[in-house]
Amino acid sequence: MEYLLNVLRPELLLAILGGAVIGTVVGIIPGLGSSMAIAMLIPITYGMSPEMGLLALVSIYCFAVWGGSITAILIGTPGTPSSAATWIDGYPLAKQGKGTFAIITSTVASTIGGVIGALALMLIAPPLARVALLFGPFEYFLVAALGLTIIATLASDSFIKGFITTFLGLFFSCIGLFVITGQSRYTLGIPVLLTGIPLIPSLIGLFSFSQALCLLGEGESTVKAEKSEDTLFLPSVIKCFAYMKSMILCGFVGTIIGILPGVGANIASWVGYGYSKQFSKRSSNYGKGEPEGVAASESANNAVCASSLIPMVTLGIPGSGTAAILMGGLIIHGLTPGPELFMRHADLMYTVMWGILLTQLLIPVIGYLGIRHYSKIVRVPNSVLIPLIIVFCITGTFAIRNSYADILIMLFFGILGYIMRHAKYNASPIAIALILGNLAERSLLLAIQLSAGSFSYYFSKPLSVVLMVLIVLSLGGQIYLARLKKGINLDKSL
Amino acid sequence: MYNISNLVTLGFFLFGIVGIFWSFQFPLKVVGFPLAVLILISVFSLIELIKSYTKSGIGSKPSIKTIISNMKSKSFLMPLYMVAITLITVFLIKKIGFFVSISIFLIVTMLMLGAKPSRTLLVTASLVLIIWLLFAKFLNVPFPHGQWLSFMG
Repeated sequence: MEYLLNVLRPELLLAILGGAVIGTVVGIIPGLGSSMAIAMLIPITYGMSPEMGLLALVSIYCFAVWGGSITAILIGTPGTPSSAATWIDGYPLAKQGKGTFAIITSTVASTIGGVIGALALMLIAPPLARVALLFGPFEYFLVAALGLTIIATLASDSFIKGFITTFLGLFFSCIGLFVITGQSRYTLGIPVLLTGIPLIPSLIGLFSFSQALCLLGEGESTVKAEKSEDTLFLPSVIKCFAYMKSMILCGFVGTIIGILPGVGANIASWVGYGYSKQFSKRSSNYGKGEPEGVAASESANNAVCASSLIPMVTLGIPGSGTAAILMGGLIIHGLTPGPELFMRHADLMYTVMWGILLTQLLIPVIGYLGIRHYSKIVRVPNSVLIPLIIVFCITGTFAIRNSYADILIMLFFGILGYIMRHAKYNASPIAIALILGNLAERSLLLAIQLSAGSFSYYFSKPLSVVLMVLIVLSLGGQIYLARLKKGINLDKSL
Repeated sequence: MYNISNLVTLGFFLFGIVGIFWSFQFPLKVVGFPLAVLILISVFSLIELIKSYTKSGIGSKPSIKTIISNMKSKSFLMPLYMVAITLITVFLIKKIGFFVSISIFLIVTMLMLGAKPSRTLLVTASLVLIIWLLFAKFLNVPFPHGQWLSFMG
């Protein structure tokens, strides 16, 4: 209760509200995404208290995922990739003049899914962090390897491409001083690289600058929102309760998927949609403008927002590209993600978790207030948007350490990210490997020293064996999930 | 064979190979982990290249003319121009100061992308003001005033 009262402090409420507005706008504008916005705005949170900064960033994340559905419904273009499944039934509803009702359905479902995810975070994270305290160096290496394996297999269309980018990120994390002896490696004689590749500039480059370059190729946006009939908010909310079963089921599906490192909201929305269609009495209406389809995918993808933070705050393993950027937000405030976060900063963590729950409850409020204005946001021209993003990238990068070298590093990663996007390589594994690389190398070297050349050391703890089995199982599981996703995509195209 | 994906994969393969040779400059104890990573980059890139080659076959090879005409397209050149303008802006920050150079950047890029002059000026003025308030006043970021304008104090 003390933590709940803590969240109700005006400055924290303002941070959540500010994040909500930015997140909604970013979600609605096609081509932008939560990763881009969070990476770009991390430097702004530098002047805030850790809880204020974190809540602002998490609020951007949750609202961007929800905001993406508005564009998917109104103009038939998902604002974020996680809203692609919402488009299947949302856009036909808008064409029938029921766009406002579809947005209200998405709002209610996002809230339900988000609350389920937030409650899971509050209930699962603290005990999991206690288990993580039992981890030795080898277990930490295995946990990092597990996270990297999952992200490598799921982040790209091709497994091999996923592994290439993961290893590339691991190599970048090795640049700088060697963790054990302090000898410099791969720095090309550039002094600024002695401390390693700076995390935030590289994330801003990979996710924000590269996004601005991609928008350049798209030309000017000429989208037009479908007209909707006047719909009263409260009666529509009550009408949405007819889909409650689907919302709750998909909320749980999204929560479980969110906990798995690397899976994320994009897949959750497809899996949620698939499950809902399978168990629904109205399954024949799916794809023709069935509100339950909108509810299913939105509940699942918003549940991921909070639950994907579980591996990050308990094990120090970012569950997705967005979580990796949020992890950068934690690091910038001097906090080390992992089990010690709950030991040393319990007050902060519980306040943030209550804040995340409150953020979910704010979705209907923002949904209600903005319902008549969303179609206007879609019309922001690229000629304004692109220079604006680039200026924020430069300013934010410079603001961290007042370093020109950081801007050049940001540009390097921006160009790399842009080329990779064009070559159908996903940038998320690079970001996650960049964060986990040091942990993986240090833990592995420590484990090798502790083993004193004995192979049996690696199998001496049941926890290590369990983690090794999980790595093997996750590879098989990811193949199954990837096939499921492909299958749903195939159904859609048919 | 000559699509962007394969070229990038080839780039990663060459990066891995160069990195492996580069690693031999350091003691093995220091670069054991990154060396293993570089070997894996090379191996996986090679597998991807072979996979792509066997999938697409020799018949799908585009002509050099197509590649050159693709490189002349707006979607290829615009990002290049944007990166060049951004680099010039970063260089200018040192010379003429932060706010002057980003104002020039905003005006040039917005006009280049087809924004109306009135909108360009309005957005530039508003954005510079927001950045000044947010970063210079709120976050106390010491933005450079520039060597060329240092006489202004």
